[in-house]
Amino acid sequence: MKYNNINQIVSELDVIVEQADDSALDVVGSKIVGCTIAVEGIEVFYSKYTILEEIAELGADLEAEKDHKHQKAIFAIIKQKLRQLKELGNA
Amino acid sequence: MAKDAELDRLKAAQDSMFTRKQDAYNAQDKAWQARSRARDILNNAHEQKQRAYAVQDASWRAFESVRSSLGPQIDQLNSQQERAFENMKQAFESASSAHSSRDGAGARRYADQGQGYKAEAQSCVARRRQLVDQIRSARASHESAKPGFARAKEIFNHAKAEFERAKATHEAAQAHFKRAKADFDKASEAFKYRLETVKAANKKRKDEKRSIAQRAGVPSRYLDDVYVSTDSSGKSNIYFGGVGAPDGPGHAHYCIDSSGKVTYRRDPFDPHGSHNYVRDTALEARLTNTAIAAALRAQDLSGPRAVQYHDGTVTVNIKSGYSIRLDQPVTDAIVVDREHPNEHLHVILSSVDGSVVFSEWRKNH
Repeated sequence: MKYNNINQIVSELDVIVEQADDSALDVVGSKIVGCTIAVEGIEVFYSKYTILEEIAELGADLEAEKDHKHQKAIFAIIKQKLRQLKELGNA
Repeated sequence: MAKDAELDRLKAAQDSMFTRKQDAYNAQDKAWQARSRARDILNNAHEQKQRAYAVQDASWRAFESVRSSLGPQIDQLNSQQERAFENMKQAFESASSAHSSRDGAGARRYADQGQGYKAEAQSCVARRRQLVDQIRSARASHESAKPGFARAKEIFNHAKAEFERAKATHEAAQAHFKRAKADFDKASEAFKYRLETVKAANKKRKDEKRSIAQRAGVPSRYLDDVYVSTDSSGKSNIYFGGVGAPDGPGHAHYCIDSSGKVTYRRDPFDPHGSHNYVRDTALEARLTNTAIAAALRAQDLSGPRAVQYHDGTVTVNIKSGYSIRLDQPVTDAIVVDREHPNEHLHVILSSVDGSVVFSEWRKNH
C-alpha cells in the first residue's frame, strides 16, 4: 500500500496541480491517474472519499483527452474537486 | 577530451617550465650578445695594442741600430781623443823644456805640435758630441713611442677583463638555460606520458560509449559523437544528434538497461513523451488483451471503478459509463503491471462495437 492516509494523496495531487504548467495537461492527467488509480488498494480511499474517485476519473478523462480546450475545462474541475477534497475530507 | 586534474597540473607545469626556459634562453642570448660585443672590443683593443707595439718595436730597433752603429765610432773617438790629449801634453812639456833650454825654435815647433794635438782632441770631442746627440735623439724617439703602447696595453687589459666578465656571465646564463631546458624536457615528457595515458583512457571510454550506443541501436553516423551517462544500476542514457553538442537542443535520447534492453527511444527532434518508451510488444499485447477481456466482462457493470482482474502481477481497474466526449458508452481500463511500477496502460473500449478507442502507456509521475 503506497498511502497510509488521504493527506498523502492530497499532498501529491497538490504538487501535481502546482506543477501543471511544466507539462502538457494529458501528462498531468497521467500523473493524477498514477496517484489515484494505478495504486494498489486505492479503493479503500474511494469508499471514504468519493471526491477522490471523481478526481481519479477526471484524471483518466484528462489523460485520454486530446482537445486542449476540453483539457483545460477538465483540469479546472479537477482543481475545484481537489479544493473540495481538502475542505470536506478534513485533509 | 574529459578533464583530468593531473594532466591539467602537468600542462601548467610544462607551460611554466617553457616560460622559464624561454626567459633563460633570452637571458643567454642577451649575455651572448654582450659577450660578442666585448669580444669585438677586445679584438679591436688587441689590434691597437699590436699596432702600438709595432710602432714601439720599430722605434726600439731604430734606436738600437743607431746605437750599435755609432757606439764603435764613439769608442774610437774616445781613444783618438785620449791619444791626442797625451800627445798634446807631451808636446807642451817638450815645448816647455825647449823654452827652458833657450831653444826658441824647438819650443815654437813643440808648441805648434801641442796646438795641433789640442785641435785634434777638441775635434774628437765635438764629433763625439754629435754622435751622442744622434743616439739621444733616437732614444727620445723610442721613449715617445712607449706611452702609446702602454696606453694600448692598458685598454687591451681593460677590454680583456670586460670580456672575461661577459664570458663568465654568458656561461652562467648558458648553464641556467641548460638546466631550464632539462627541467622543461622533463616536464614535457611527464605531460606527454600523462596525455597518452589520458588519451588511451578516453579512447577506451569512447569505445565503451560507442559500444553502448551501438547496442542501443544508435544510428552509425552518430556513434562517434554521443554522450552517455551510466548510473549505478547499470542503466545508460544515451544522447546524440543535438545542435552543437550530443545533448544540445533537439537531441535524441535512448535508454538501455543493465540487461541491454532498450527501454526508451526518442530520435533527433522527435517530441518528448511517454510514447517514446520502448516496450515488449508481446507483453503489451498480452496486457492489452487482458484489459480488453476484463473490460468486455465488466462492460455491463455500473458503479465506481473496481478491480476486475488481478493475477498477482497485473491488475485491471475497470469503470464503465457514458463518455460525453465520445458520445457513446465506453469501458475504461487502467492496467497496472507490477513489473512496470512507474507507468500504466490506459485502454478505452467502445461498448458499442468493442473497438479500442484509446490505448496508451503513460507515466505515473
